Amino acid sequence: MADTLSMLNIVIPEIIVVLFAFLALFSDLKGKNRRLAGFITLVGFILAILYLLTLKGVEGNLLTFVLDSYAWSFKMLFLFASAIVAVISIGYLERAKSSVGEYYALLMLATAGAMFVVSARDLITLYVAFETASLSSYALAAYFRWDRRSNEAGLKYLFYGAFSSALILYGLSLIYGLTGRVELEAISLAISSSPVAYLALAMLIAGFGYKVSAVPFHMWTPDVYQGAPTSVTAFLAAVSKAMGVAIFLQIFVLGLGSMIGDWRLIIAVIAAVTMTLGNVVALVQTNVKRMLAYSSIAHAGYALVGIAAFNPLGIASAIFHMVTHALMKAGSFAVVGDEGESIHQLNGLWKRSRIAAFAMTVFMFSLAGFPPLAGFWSKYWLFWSAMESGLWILALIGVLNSVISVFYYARVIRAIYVIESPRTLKISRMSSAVVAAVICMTGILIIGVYPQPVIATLLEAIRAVYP
Amino acid sequence: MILSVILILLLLGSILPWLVRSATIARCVAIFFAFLSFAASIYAYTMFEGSGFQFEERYEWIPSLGISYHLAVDGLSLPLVILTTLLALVATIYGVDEPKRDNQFYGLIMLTCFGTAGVFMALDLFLFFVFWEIVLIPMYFLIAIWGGPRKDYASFKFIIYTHIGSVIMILAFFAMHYLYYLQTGVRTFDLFELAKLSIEPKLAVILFIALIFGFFIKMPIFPFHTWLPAAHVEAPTSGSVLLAGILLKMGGYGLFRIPYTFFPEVAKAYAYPIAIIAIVTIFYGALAAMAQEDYKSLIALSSVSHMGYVLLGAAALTPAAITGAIFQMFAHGVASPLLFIMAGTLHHKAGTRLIHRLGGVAHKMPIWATFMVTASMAGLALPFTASFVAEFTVLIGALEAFNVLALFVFPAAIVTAGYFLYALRRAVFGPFNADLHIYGDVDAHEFVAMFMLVVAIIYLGIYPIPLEGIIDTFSVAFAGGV
Repeated sequence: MADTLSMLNIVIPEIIVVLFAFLALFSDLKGKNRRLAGFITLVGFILAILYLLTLKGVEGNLLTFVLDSYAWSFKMLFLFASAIVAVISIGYLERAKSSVGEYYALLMLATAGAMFVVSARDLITLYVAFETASLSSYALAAYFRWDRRSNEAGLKYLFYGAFSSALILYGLSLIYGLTGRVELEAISLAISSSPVAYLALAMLIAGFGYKVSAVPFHMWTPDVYQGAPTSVTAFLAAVSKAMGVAIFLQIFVLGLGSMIGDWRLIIAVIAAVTMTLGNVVALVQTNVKRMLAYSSIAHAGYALVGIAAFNPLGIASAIFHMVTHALMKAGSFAVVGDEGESIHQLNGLWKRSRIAAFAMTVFMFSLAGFPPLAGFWSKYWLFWSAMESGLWILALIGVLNSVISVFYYARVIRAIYVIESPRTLKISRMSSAVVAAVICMTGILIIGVYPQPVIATLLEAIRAVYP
Repeated sequence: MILSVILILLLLGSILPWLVRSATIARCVAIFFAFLSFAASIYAYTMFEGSGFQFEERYEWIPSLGISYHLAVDGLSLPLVILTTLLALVATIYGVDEPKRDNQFYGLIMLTCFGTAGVFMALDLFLFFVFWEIVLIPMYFLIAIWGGPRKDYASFKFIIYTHIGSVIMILAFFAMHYLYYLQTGVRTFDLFELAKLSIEPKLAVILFIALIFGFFIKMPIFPFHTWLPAAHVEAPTSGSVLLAGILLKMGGYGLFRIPYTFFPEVAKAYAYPIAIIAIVTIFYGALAAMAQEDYKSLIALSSVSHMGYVLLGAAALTPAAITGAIFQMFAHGVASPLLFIMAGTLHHKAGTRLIHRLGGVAHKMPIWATFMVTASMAGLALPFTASFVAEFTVLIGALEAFNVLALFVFPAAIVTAGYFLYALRRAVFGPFNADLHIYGDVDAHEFVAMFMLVVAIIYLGIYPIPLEGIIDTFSVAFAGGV
């Protein structure tokens, strides 16, 4: 017990986040201290990041709560992305018609939930942590109560989420029934192919496929991404999606890795269909939030390529892709939140805010996979890992999809620089969204020019989970 | 170091104009850096000795993938680097057609030159690809923002065509990278290392075709040329200067540097089909140019025809043919930009480029007409212009390699002379068309841009040795190696 207590420090980042969640909740009860609540949240995230930095390289566990380099990398991603979302929110919530304390509290609780997810090594902790994050994000999506579309988004998200939770619970209980264990490592040793295991597998793929918005479980994504407040959309794309991929990794690689032969083909097919459908449907969207939602679906497909490849590089690059995707999407939703969600509202953006215009251009090129930007490298490693596993058709489909995607990202760039707009509102105002966009852009450029340290860290990290 | 210096100067020239608001200062900054980079490339020329790759620089970039920042130039790339910096100077001096967002315009012009110079210098296939893609982006904006009436269509077609070519090209790069990894367990994109690869003949053919496909689109070679008339006609004049002057050369350069270096046996085995494609391209471009009413599309299609000579030289693979092909890249790289500048000036002063609406322009614009005649003579490869030296050398080389087949090219020279002279007769000479309003002769800055190109054309036409000397160091070794 004394031993366990001495490892209490590994959970301190989560404790900081939860404490600050309550602080933020009480800081803005009457809607008069909106910015204060935002800054408290930001401070909470920054403190947690700083503490987490001191934990680099620390390995330890509190019962089934594990901190290893894998969990560390994901937590860093969650905290950093949530901090960016908090920065976006400070400006974006000026339009809120009520107090914003609970918004920030929910944001921090959702982040804490995601952080617990990546540390969970048994099914029960995993499920509870997952639900903490999910429930908070349902409420976040519906946060603009006075906006019909935000309500619709929240409700849709909740219903789909509840359904998928039920599927996941069924799947998990079947696995428990088969193996009698809840610890992921014990499960991977005990489980073997059987009809019931297949049933569990199908339910888990459907349930978690929903969370990462893999086709055919993606239907909610465009509506929710479009309807939710844009700062929340940034959170869903950056943090929730990464959490979904983390769960995929933990359940399928760590828990069901021994059944690889049974699920690899399914995941590979889902990855191919997800990439293709996301990119093709995105071609015809005129609402940028919706277009980015479909792009987000496509990017989930890219990440699944790495899981289907099932080799160290594939898993590392799936995580890497979530890092770059978080930066690109958080940044682009920041700009969209500031400028408006129809593509016409981006027309002539360069005249209104040169910094935002340039940052958005970098995001779009990075999403399309132009070298040398961060988005190129993560895709490169994903497809390379698929080749190494002999899934070269999947790699080829991925490359073709990257080509298709250029067209809709180019439309945004065209709107920003080429089409002239009569609208010349606000000339280069330095808003919080621009700050967030600049942070993301800097990250993309640095990782793009010098990706070596990131991929090295992640390759180190996945040694902890790869069997 | 000198190569990095050239790149840094061009890069500075493309970033700094964005930071100033005044159009004049932006232009001066761009011209200043273009001039410095041109001076640096001339300095590199004077320092170039002997043969082989020189001024080599190599730094690890992403070691885990074997990607390095590896630059060097040889007799093939140095002339093209000089051409790039020269055209950077010419394009910035000529400037923007319609004054709007000038600072961005100059930044993009310089960024295009930065990417192109990088393509000519890079000896790491990945670095090559990065520069290759960098070129695409500013050129898209140049056409889409400052282009003519059909700029949307033209810029989109440009980006689709060249991007598809790039993707197929990079797939072939990755395939070679992967094969090398399988054979040796080492990851590298280095050109020298990958050239050592032993690939089975069938796969070599596939890779060869994949590689030349990307470069054919860029050159462009019939039937992948359809993006070119649209892009060249709609692009602003300085954009056309760069498109015709150096972007097409990226295709020709890549052809020699990559597929022909890696798979010389395949290139030899398919010499005849490639030569036939080249001859078809030469004729197609010339005949299509004859049918044009817009001076700019005439010039654009003449580019297709002229780039066919480059491919013909490559197919022949004799020292003379290769020297001719590379010389042709340089010669066309100064003649075609001059023609585009003439067309751009004409459009400014006369308000139209349509040949049937012109007539007797020489009466009102004598200086312009003088330059136009010189440019047309360079276009139709009159002796004492650089193009003549180039095309003549290619034909000599092709005769050595293909005998009778090469004779089929000669009628094309007549067609070429035909459309240039016919256009001159209708547009520039004859009685003055009274419906035409001409607003003065050429401006000073236009004159400077034209004059620089004319000097290059005539000088190399009369005394080609300075250029041919360096090119020969490459082509003799190359043909010997093949």
